[in-house]
Amino acid sequence: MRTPRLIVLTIIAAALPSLAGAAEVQATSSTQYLWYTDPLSDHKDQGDVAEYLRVNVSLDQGGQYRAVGYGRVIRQTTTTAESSPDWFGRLYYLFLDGRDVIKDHLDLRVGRTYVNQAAIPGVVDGGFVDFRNLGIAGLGVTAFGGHRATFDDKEDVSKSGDALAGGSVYWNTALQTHLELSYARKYTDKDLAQEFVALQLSTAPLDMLSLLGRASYDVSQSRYSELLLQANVSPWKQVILRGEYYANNPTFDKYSFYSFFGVTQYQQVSATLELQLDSRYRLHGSYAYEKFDSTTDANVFDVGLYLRPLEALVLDIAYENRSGYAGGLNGIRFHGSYRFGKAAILAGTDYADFRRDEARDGTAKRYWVGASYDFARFLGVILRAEENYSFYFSHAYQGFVALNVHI
Amino acid sequence: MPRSATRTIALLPMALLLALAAAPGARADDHKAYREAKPDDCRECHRGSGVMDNHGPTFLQEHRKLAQKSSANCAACHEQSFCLDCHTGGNLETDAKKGLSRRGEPMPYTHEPDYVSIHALKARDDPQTCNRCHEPKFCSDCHVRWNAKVGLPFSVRPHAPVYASPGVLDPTWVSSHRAEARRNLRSCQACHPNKADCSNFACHSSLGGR
Repeated sequence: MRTPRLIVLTIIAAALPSLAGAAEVQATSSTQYLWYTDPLSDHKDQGDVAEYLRVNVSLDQGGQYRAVGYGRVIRQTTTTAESSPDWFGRLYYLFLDGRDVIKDHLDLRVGRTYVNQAAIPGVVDGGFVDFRNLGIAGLGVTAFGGHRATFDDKEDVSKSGDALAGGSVYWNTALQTHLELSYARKYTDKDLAQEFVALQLSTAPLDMLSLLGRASYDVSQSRYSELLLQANVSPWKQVILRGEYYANNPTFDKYSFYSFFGVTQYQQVSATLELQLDSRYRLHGSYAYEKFDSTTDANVFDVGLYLRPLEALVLDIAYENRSGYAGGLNGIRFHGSYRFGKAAILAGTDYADFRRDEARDGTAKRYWVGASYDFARFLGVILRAEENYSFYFSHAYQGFVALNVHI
Repeated sequence: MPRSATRTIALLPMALLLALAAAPGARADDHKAYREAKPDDCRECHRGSGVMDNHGPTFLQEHRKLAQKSSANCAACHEQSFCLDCHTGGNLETDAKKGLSRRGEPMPYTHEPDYVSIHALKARDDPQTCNRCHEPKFCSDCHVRWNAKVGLPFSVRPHAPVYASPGVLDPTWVSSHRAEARRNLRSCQACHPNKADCSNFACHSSLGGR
């Protein structure tokens, strides 16, 4: 297990003196057994055992300082063509969280933390600071940086030279207006991989109207990577209409051979309707026109209905239709759940018919059932089992069972 | 256009910025007290304060636009684990609606059945979507493994170079190959992550050293 031990030990050492006076400790544990079938391992049935643990420790009475951590260990219990039983670990985050370290002016996080506030999101071993109200109300600056953690194939696969750094200047002001300029650099194995600048503006000039725009520029390749313009209109509080224009150029790491090629801009124009009569009935529909160059396009339709006719009964159904470039897809997804007392049962089915231009046609069917039971507020069990019939499997049976504990 | 009109237009954005600067700054409210609230309750406040109801039926697709703001208040109700369980693969807050990937990793509900077969279509619908959670290596690792195990053409329509005569590429193949690569270059990278995979071809030799 590759873990930034120095940071972990630093945070634990910093937190320990305060634990004696900790106002509150919360922990959530989930112990799981998972079974699945891997087409790359000769369709052999496989099994994993996993333990997830999240701990939140308030370091003062007011909850201004917290130490929080989340990780898992997992072991594959079967030997396959690709792997053999071994323990793997992931530390998703472990940081010291300070809110209002300087009242109304400074929030910070130190340790391994997820950052999503800038041009490139990621998990960093380092820190994040947010300086607020700098002279002008609502004006703030954020900065973050550190070793970049990446996870793949059950473990932390980042290298010592992987890093991410960046920051932003933002301004929150009247009419729910938010203006933000952000910048980030990503390093892979010490090489500069990506460098982005992004500008975001959102505002709500009327109660019934909100606008959002976002543009990001790929500095390393000297071309824009993303442009988004969105308008939301809510003529009645039960109805939201959304129109959006979105365009992007695929981006590649700077050292990638593919960064030298010309690419066609992807463009999408979409419209969405959300109808929410009350918390029990929701309907949504959307249409997107996708354009890949001057001669190829695709159309995507989505509709969905959420019903809660009884307090304990939920029904959710969605239909998707795609046609045009790269192929067609028709899919229906349905699931329902019913809760009675401490128990709940769930069931669902998914069906997809796909017609890929470049490869294969086929259908996929999935049937699943689930159940949960809460023995007490702090102890529960949940089960999911599913059967798949797909292009790769005449059948594939998989699922998980988990014992969850909250203290 | 008269100079005065041009000056007025130029000054308008500045005047707007000054007016906004004079207004009190707004910080996203702490929503901890509303964790258990129902959507109906949210709408009562949101509409009156210029913030539209946002946790609607399409919030899964929309949330990134709000979460990317530095002042996003997601943390008032959600722990980071709530984000990372989808974005980096985790399953602490177990949900029976979540299926498993071929490697036994929990997948967000957005991933439909037999996603291995469908993913090429989904990756076309906004080519950046996959990147928001997956590194490029995620694609190439699986594609290269699959090629090694199953062998080419990997169920993809054969796309090896076609020659009109020895040493001369078929112009039709050149045209279609180029158009497809420009439309979705990322799909090329998924199976051919190294530059040698393309620079071996005569037409790309000039790019080999760049």
